Amino acid sequence: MARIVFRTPQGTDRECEAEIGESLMAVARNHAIHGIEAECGGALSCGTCHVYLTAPASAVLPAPSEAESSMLEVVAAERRSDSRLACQIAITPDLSGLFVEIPATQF
Amino acid sequence: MDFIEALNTRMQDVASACVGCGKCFEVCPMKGPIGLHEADPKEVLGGIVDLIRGGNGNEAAQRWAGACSSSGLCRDACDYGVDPLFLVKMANYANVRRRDGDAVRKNGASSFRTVAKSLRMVSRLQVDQNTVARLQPTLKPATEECKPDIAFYIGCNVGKTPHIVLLCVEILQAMGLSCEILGGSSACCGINQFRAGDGETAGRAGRAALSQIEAKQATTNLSWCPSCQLQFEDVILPAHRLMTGRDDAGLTPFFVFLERNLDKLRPLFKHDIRKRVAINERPGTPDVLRAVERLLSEISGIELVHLDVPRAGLMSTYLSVTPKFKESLRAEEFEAAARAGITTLATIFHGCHRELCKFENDVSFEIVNVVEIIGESIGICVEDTYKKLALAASVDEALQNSAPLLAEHGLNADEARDALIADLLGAKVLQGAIQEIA
Repeated sequence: MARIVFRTPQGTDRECEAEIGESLMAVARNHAIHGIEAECGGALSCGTCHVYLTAPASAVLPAPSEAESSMLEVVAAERRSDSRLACQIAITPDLSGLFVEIPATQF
Repeated sequence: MDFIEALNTRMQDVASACVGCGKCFEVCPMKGPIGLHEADPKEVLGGIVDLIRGGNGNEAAQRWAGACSSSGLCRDACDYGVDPLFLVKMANYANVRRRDGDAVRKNGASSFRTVAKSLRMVSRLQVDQNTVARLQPTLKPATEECKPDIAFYIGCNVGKTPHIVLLCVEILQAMGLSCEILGGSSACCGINQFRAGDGETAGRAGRAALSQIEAKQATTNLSWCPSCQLQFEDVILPAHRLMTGRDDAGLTPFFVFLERNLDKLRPLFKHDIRKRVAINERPGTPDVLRAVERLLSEISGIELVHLDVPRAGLMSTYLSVTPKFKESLRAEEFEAAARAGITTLATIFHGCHRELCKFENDVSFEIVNVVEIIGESIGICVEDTYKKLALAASVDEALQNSAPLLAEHGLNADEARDALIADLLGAKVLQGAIQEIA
C-alpha cells in the first residue's frame, strides 16, 4: 500500500491508502475524490483527471508519454510544469507520500 | 500498423473505388437544405475524393461533407460497390483535419468534455446514485464463473433517458438472459473526437471501449446507440481488423437481436396494447426499422400506421446543422400523425425521443419509445423521467422537482440549469456550425 494525499482547490486535504499497481485515477475514483472527473475512464481521451504532482515523490515518476503530453496541452485548467494525468500514473511503493493537488476545473 | 495508418489505408481505398458518378449526391436529403440542389453531382464527388486525397476539394464538397446526417439513402444509390456514407464521412474527417490542424485535439477533447458534462448533469437530475452506478458501471472483467449472456453497450447519451436503458435490461432479463451494461463517457466510441478530426484519440477511445466489451466475454454483444454502431462498423472495427488481423468483433443492434429471438420474446407479450401506432422512422438504420416493425406487429392489439412523410438523419439530433429543415420534417410528421388518428408516436432512438417527447402536450397523441410499448406488453413499466423534466411548466419547476437528486449528487445548481436548458433546446450541435441556406 502507498499513502496518497489529495488537496482540493478549496485547500482541504484527504489522505488515502492506494494499492500498488493501480492508477492514481482509480485511487481517486475508489475514494470518491471530488474534482478528478476521469470522464473517459483512462482512455487518455479527455484530460479530466488532470492533477498537479509535487516533489519529492513525483520526482520518481517517468516523464509523460507523448500522448499524455499532447492531452495535457488541452486540459481545462492551467497547465503547469508539474501537471500530469492521473490515469497515466501507476502507483509504486516509491510514490508513498505523494501529494496530489486538484485543479480548479476539469471542464 | 497504427490506427491512423489503418484508417488512411481505408480512406485511399474508398477514394480509389469511387467513380465519381454523383448518384449518391443526387439522392441525399441534405443537399437542398444546405443550398446545393443545383450543384453538379460529379463536381461535388470530385471534390469529395480530392478532400480524402489531401486536397482542398471544393466549396460544395466541403459543405456537403460537413452536413452529412448519416441518412444512408446514398448506400442504395451506388452501383459500384462503394459505401458513399463512409466516403463522405472520411471526406469530412480529412477536411476538418486539414482546416483545423493542430487544434483538432483540443476541439475533440472540448467536444467530449461537453458531452460528458451534459450527460452527467442531465442523467443525475433524474435518477439516484444507485441507478447511475447501474447505468454507468465501473469496469469489471468477467470471471470464469460469471460470463453474462449479453454485454449491452449503450453508448453515452442514452443515459439521459434512463428509462430506455432500464427497460431494455428488464426486457432482456424477462427473456431469461443475464446482462451487463457498458457505457457512459468512460466507454466512448470516439465519435466526438472523430468528428473534430482527432483520429488518434478517437481510435484510442473506440478501441478501449472495444476492449471493455470483449473483457465481458459475453455470448452476445449488443449495442443501443446508432451513432456508436455506425462509428464501430465504419471506423473502429475495420481499422482494428487491419491492425490485428482479427475479424471476430462485432455489435448487434438491440432491436435486431430482439427480432432474431422472437421465439423467446413472443410468449412474454401477454398484455393487449390497444394502440394505433406510427413509428418515428429513421432511414439510416433500415435493419433496425424492419426489426421494430416486426416486433410491434407481434404485439396483440397494436395497429401499425405508416406515415408517408420525408425522412432524414440517423437520429433527429443529426439534423442540427439544418434546424429549419429538421423542424419542417417534425411538423410534417406530426401533421400526418394527427390526420392518421394515431394514439401513439413511437420513437426508436434516444436522440429522437429527447427531441420529440417535449411536444407531447401540443399534440393529440402520446410520444413514447418503442421499448415502452414492448415493456407494457410484457408488464414492465419504467417512468420516462426525461419527459417529466421536459414537460415541466418551466426549467425552475423541473429543477425544483429534482432538488433532492441535485443534493444527493452534489450538483452545482447553476451548472445543472445550464445543462438542462442546453439539452432541452437541443443546443448541442454534433456536426458543427449551422450550414442551412434560408
